[in-house]
Amino acid sequence: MRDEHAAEHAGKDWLWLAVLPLILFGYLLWEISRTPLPWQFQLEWVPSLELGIDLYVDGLSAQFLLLITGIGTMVLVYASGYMAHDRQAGRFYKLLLLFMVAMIGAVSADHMLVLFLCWELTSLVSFFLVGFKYTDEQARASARTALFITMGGGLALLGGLILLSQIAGTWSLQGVIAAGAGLHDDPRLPAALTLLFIGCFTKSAQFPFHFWLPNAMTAPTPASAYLHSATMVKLGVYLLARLDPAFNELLFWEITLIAVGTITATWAAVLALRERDLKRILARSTVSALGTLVLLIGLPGESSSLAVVAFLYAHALYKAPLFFVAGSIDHATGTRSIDHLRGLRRQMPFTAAAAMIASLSMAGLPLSFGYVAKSVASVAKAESELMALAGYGLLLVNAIAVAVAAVAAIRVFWGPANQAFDQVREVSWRMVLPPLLIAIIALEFEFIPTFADPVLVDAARAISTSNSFTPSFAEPQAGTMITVAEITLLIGVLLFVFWERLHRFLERFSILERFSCAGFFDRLLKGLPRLAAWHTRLLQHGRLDSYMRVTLLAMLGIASGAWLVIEPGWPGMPGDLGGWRDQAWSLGAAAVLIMAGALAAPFMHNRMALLMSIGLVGYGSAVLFLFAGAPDVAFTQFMVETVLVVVAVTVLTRYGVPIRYTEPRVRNALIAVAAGAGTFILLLQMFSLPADLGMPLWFAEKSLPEAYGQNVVNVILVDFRALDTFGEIVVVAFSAIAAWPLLRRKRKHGSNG
Amino acid sequence: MIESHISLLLVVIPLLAAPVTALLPGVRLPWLTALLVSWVCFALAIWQFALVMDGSVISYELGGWAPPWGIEYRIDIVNAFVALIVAGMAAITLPYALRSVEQEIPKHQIPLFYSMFLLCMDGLLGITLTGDIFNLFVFLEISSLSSYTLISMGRQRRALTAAYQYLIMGTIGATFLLIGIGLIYAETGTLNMADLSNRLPAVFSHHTVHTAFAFIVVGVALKLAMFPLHLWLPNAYTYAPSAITVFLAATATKVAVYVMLRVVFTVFSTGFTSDTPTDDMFLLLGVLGVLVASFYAIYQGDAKRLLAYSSVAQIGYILLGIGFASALGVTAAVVHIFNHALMKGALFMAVGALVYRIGSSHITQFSGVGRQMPWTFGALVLGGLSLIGVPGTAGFISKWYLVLAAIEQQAWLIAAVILVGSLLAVVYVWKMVEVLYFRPASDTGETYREAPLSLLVPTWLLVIANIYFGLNADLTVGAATTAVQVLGGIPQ
Repeated sequence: MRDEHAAEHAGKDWLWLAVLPLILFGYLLWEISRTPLPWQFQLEWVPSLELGIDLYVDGLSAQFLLLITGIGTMVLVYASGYMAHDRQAGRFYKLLLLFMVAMIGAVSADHMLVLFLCWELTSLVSFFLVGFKYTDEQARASARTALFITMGGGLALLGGLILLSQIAGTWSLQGVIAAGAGLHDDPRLPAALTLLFIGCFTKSAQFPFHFWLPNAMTAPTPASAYLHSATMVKLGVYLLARLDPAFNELLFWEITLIAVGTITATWAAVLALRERDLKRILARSTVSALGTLVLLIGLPGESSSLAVVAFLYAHALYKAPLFFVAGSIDHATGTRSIDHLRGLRRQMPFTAAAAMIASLSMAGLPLSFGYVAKSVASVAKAESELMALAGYGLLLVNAIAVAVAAVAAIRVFWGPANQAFDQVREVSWRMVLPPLLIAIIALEFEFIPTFADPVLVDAARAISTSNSFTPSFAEPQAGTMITVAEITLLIGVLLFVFWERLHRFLERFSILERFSCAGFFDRLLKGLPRLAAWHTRLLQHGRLDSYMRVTLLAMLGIASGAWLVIEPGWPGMPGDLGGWRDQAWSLGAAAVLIMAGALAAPFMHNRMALLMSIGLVGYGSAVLFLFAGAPDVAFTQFMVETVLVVVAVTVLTRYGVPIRYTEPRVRNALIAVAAGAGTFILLLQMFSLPADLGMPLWFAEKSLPEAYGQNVVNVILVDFRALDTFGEIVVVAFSAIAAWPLLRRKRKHGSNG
Repeated sequence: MIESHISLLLVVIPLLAAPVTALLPGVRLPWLTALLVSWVCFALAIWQFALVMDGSVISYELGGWAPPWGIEYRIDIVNAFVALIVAGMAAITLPYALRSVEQEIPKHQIPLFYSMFLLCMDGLLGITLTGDIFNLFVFLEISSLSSYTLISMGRQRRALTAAYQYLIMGTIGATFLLIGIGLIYAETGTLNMADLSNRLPAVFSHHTVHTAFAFIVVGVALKLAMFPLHLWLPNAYTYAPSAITVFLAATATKVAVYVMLRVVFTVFSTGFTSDTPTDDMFLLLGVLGVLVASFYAIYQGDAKRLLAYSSVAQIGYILLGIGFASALGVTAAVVHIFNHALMKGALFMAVGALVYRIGSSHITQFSGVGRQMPWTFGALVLGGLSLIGVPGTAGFISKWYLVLAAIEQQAWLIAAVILVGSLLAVVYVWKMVEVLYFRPASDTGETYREAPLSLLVPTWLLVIANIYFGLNADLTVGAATTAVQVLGGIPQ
C-alpha cells in the first residue's frame, strides 16, 4: 500500500462488488422469514459415482450463510478502502469472491464429497491470500505452512468422510446423522472419527495444528478478518457441530473434543500474552475462541448447542471489527506493534468507537451480545458435572480475552499520545463504516433479541440431539454465574494492568519456541529433502553396472521365490538324453571351451581379454550346436561371436575407453554363479517334462500341401509367422538407420570432449 | 471392407509410412506425413473402439492361418482402449512436436525423428493389438528400439547416456520376457494368448510355469518401470526431446501395464496368481513405489525429472490396483492408465512449453515465469491438480476407485498410503508452482513471451480432457468396467 508507485497506479474502484453479497444477504433474510428451514436441492453430477450436488440448508447452515454474506459485504466495502492504492487489488477481489462461493458451497452441501471439494477450495484460496505479498519471503513461508497443514488435513478429512460413508452406507450428511447411534458399534468408526478430527482440527487451528493461523496473518487484513477469523477457520467447528447429534453420546467423541478444545483455548490464550503485534494477538485469541467452540461442542447436554451457536455468532461479530480496527491502525500509522500504539483516539475517533463497542462484546460485559453468549455458555458448563476442571481453565481463557479486549480498546486508543503519530488522520469512511456497523449490530442483538432469536434457535436445534429441544435465551439465573463473570472480569483487568510484566516473564521462555509445533514442522520440512537426497544417492546414482546388479538380483529373488511357492522339489535327471554317449568327446570339448571361458572371465583385468574369454563361451556353445544336429544355428553363432568381438574391440579402441577393467569382481562373479545355477536348475526342470509337439508336427504336416514349401523353417519364417519376421527385419534395418546419425554426432562431439 | 481390417491397418500403415518419412526432405513434409498417419490411426482406433465397446471380441487371422498356428489379432475392449490412448496421444503430440522439435533437434535428423516416432507408435499399437505372445515380443522390440533412438536425440549430450542406459536395461527386460515366453511355449506348445489361457491351467503346478511367470513379470516390470526396476526412467524422460517425453510418458509405460494385465489376468488368471505371492508383491512394490518415488520427486531440481519420478509413483498406484486383484481394483488400474496419460501428457507439454521459451527445464530458471506465460502456467496448475487428485479432475476419479478398492479389501494401510501419496504430490507440484508464480523474476531482466499456439493448443486440449473426464467419468469408468469382465480371470 505504501508503495511509492502506488498512487499513480491507483486501481479501479471495486466498491460495487459489495452489492453482490449484499443482495444475497438480503435475499437470505427475506427467504428465511418466508420459507421454513430446512431447504433442500439436488442435482446429478456423476451418477456412476453416486456423486451429486446435494444441498441442505438448515438453521446451522443458514447462520453460516448469513455470516458469510453479511460479513462478506462489509469485507468488500472495507477492502475497497484498504486496497485502494494496490495494483493487485483486482486479483484480491477475485480470490475473495471465489472464496465466498466455496464457503457457501461448503456450509450448504449435504453430499460429503461436495463438502470436501469446497473445503479444499477454501484452503487453496487461503493459500493464495496468505501469500498475497509474494515478494515477501515470510509471506511465502506462511502460505506454504498454511497450505500443507490445511491441505494435509483435508486429505485426512477425505479419508474420514469416505470411511464414514462406507460405515453409514450413504454420502449424505443428513443420512449419517439420521443413522446416528446405530453407527457407534462399527469397529471402523474410531478410525473414521480420528481422520475426521485431524481434518477439522487442522482447519480450525486446534492444538497441535494451531501454529499456521498466527503466521497466516501475512495476508491482507480484510482477508484475515474474513477467512482467518469470521468464516473459514470455523469450517472445522461447523462440521463437528453438524455431526455432533450423531456422535454426542460417544465417549471418544466427547473426550477428544473436550481435551483438544481445552488445551487449545488455554494454550493459545497464554501465547497471546507473548505477542507484540496487534494482529497476531487477535489471531491467538481467535485460536483460543475456536478451542472454546470445540470444547462446547464436546460438552454433553442440550444447552451446549445453544451456547455453541451463540458464541459462534458473538465471536464473528466482535472479532471481525477488531481485525478491521487493527487493519485501519496499520493503514494509518504503518505499524501494528502495541509498543508504539497509544492515544490514537483523538486522531481516529470512529475507529476507536468501533474498537470500544466490539471489545465490550469480547470481554463479555453486560449490554453486549458477548454477554449473552457467555452466560449461555456457563449454563452449558454448569449442566455437566465433569466440567469443573475445564471450567477453571476457561476462567483463565476468558480473563485473557478480557485483557486482549482491553489492549485493543484502551491501550491503543487511550493514554498519552505518541508524538510520532501527530500527522495520522482517520481512515476513509469505507474503512470506518464496516467495523462500526458490525459492532453496533452485535450490540443491538442484545436489546432486540427477537431478530436474532429465530435464526439462532433454529441453528441450535439443528445441532442438538433431541428433536423436542426448544432452546431460548432465557435471562441467565442470577447467582453463581454472575460471580464467575465478576471474577473473570477482575482477573482480566489485573492481567491488563500487568500485561508488560507478564509479557517480559513469558518472553524468557524462549524454549517455548524451540519445542513449538511450528518449529517441529519447520524441521520436518527441511528434513524431508535431506532424506530424499540420501535415498537418491543410495539407489539412483546413475551407475549402470549397479542398476544391472539390482535387476539381476531382483530377477533371481523373484524366480527363486516362485520356486519356493510350490513345494520345492529337485528335478530328476532327464530320462532320455538321446545318444549323447556317441558324441561324448565333441560335447566334452565344447563343455571345456565354455567352462574355460567362464572361469577365466572373472580374473581378467583387461577389457580385451575379458571380451575374448566371453567370446570363448560363445564359441563353445556353437560347437555344442554343431554336434547337436543344428549346424545352421552353429554357424550363425560363430558369426555373431566373431562380429561382436570385432565390433566391440573397434569401438573400444576408437573411442578411447580405458582398457583396464575395474568392476567389483567378487560380487559380480557371485551374482553370475547364482544366475547360472538358477538357469541350470530351470533347464533340468524343463527337460524332465515331455515337450508338447502339437505345433511342430502341424507345421511339418501343412508346410508342403498348404504353403507350398519344402523347408519347414523357411515356411514358418515367411508364411506362418511372416509378421514376426517382418518385424525383426524392421528392427535390424532401423537399428542401422538410427545408429548412423548417432555415430556421426558422436564423432563430432568426440573431438571437443 | 476397411472395418474388417482395422486392426491390421493400424499396424501396417505406420510401419509402411515410417521408412517413407525417413526419406522425405525438409522439416515440414516428414512432419505432415507423420501427422496424417497418426490422425488416420486415431480415427481407426476410435472406430475399432466403437466396434468392441459392447464387450464383443474381434479375431483377425493374419495370412488366413488359423490360431494357434498362425498369428492372431484379437481385439477386445481392453486393447482397443489402450490402442485408443496410444493413437490419441500420438495424434495430439505431433502438432505439438513441430515447433518443439524444430528447436531441439538438428535439421538433418528431423525426418529420422518423425520416422522413429511413427515406428514407436507402431510398436506400441502392435503390442496392444496382437493376440500372440511372441508377436508381442517382436513389437516390443520395435517400440523399444525406436524409443532408444528418439531419446538419444535429446539436445544435451547426456541424452546419449540416458538412451544407452535405457537400451541396456530394456534389453535385459526384453530378454527376460523372451526367456519366459520360451519356457511357456515349451510347456504348452502354443504362443496364442487365448489358447495359452486354456492350456496353462493343466500345468499350473509345474515349476517351469512358475519360473516362466517370474521371468515374464520381471521383464514386463522393467518396461513399465515398476519400483525398484524404474532406474532407467528418470534419465530417459529428462533428456529426451520434450515431445518424446510427452509421448513416452503417456503411452509407453501404459502399454507395458496393459501387457502386465494381459499376462496376469488373461494368460495366467487369478487361479494361478492366488497360489503365489504375486498380489502381495504388487501391493508391496506399489506402496514402495508410491512413497519412495514421490519422495524423490520432491527432491528433484529439474521439472522433467520431477515429473518422471512422479510417473514412477503413478505406476505404483496402478500396480496397487492390479495387486488388489478385484474387479474394483483392476477397474481403478485401467481408469488410471487412461487418466494418467491425460495428466502426464498435459504436464510434460506444459513443461516442454517452458523449455521452449526458457531453454532449460531446471526449476530455478522458472522464477516468476508463471506470470509471463499465464496460459502455460495455468495448464501446469490444472494438470498438477489432476495429478494430486483434486475432485473435478480426472485424477480424482482414479484415486477414488483405488481408495474404494482398498477399502473393499479392508486394506486401510494402503488406503492411507494412497492419501499420503496425494499429499506428497501436493508438495512437489507446489514446488514448481511456487517458483513459477511467487518467486520474483530473475535479475537478468529477461522476459519470456507466452508459448506459441501450436504448443498451447495441444496442451490445453489435454487439460480440458482432464477436466472433462473428471466431471464425466461415464466413458472411462464404463470402458474399464467392461474391460475387467473381458480380461477374464478376475473374481467379480
